Amino acid sequence: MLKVLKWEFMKRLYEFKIYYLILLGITILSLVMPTNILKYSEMVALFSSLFGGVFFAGLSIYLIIATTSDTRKSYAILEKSISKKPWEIISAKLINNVVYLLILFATVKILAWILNRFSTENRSFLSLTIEYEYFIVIGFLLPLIILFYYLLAQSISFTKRLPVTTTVVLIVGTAILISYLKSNLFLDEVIFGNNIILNIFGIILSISLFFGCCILYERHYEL
Amino acid sequence: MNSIVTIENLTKCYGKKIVLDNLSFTIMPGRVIGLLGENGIGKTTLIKILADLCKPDQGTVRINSKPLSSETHSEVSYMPDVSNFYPWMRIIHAINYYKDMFPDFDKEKALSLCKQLQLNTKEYLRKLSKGNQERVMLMLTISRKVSLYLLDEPVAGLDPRMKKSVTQIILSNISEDSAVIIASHLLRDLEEIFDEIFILKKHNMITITADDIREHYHQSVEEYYMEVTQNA
Repeated sequence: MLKVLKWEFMKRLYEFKIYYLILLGITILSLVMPTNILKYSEMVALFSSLFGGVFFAGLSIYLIIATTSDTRKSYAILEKSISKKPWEIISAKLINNVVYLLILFATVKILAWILNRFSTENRSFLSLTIEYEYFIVIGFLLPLIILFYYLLAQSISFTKRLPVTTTVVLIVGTAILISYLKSNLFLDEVIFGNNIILNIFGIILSISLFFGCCILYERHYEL
Repeated sequence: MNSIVTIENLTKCYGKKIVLDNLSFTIMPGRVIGLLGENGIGKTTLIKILADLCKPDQGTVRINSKPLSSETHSEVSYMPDVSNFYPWMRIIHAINYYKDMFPDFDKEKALSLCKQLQLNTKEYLRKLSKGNQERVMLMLTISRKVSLYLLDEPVAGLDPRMKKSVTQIILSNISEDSAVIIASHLLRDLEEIFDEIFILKKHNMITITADDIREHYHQSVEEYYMEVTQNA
């Protein structure tokens, strides 16, 4: 398991290497830039906060779909043929998603703290506040749902030839269903009103999706 | 002696097209099988099914009596016809990856094969020529100790001198307890190492030993193949 995690981590590291280097560069630049050179310091602060914000948002979106898009890349053959159990492969991807989000969050937080030097009473630059649920939903739950839909689409002969379209349709369908439940006052109160019920439901859903993905990956996923 | 591969009534379709139609055969240890057939006839599909990368629509496939699953990945070493590594990998990364992912992988053997195959472990895989990528794939595939080796077009991109030495490397690095399936169009280069020939045709498969072709038909494998497929 640790070995799969290691190579997953390295894979993502190489994928994001260039963006992390830019982030590191602008963080250092923001740190050494004197605040009294108004014109330039403002420009650096503006660019840094823009890059930090866009990178954070972009990586979050990328990580949501990366677990599924991995199964369509040329290296999917390599990942599918290794002597490891499906649960090890899938959980390594999901754990790495959360780890990368945490690393990025910490890095952008540091950048925001440095950019505070350039803030005035009327103007502040980068600010990032998120709840811990964000890491679970973005790094774990959403990638798992998309992967499950994709593997399910690949497993049914009717949808096998259009797995991406089917996945998109299923995601949109799920989003519509959730909006409907939220818009209905009674159902909203029953399902989303009670945190304990919601958490228990979330855990049961995650476990079911995870084992569902493992079974589909082992028995039906093909390249 | 137990068979390494047992296939019964295997059928595989892509949409409405039947690619493999009710195939049944067994492969015993110590055999080198030449898997032949025209383009698109299903050679790669059959190999992918054995590697558990493709799923049969009907029939059963067993490797060492076990049905195909992630468990049989440790019994099969597969060399695909295209390179499938992460784009940032050097040869040494690929060797380390195999070491971590396959408990049966012999790193010392892999490094020694790199020397024999004239591969520089520091080179990036994406920058290698097709022939060199094939050498890397072959080096990694035969550095594992498994029951079944699946080689899909292992010599297609190699120069004639290297083809000769690669066939020798394949033979000298695979134990007698194992079986090898080689899918290839380059019969002249490989026919001397085949024990058995499987020729995939549209609705059936011909299986014959290489000795039978030579002794009973007085033909080379290539001549025999041309004859049986001319009206296909």
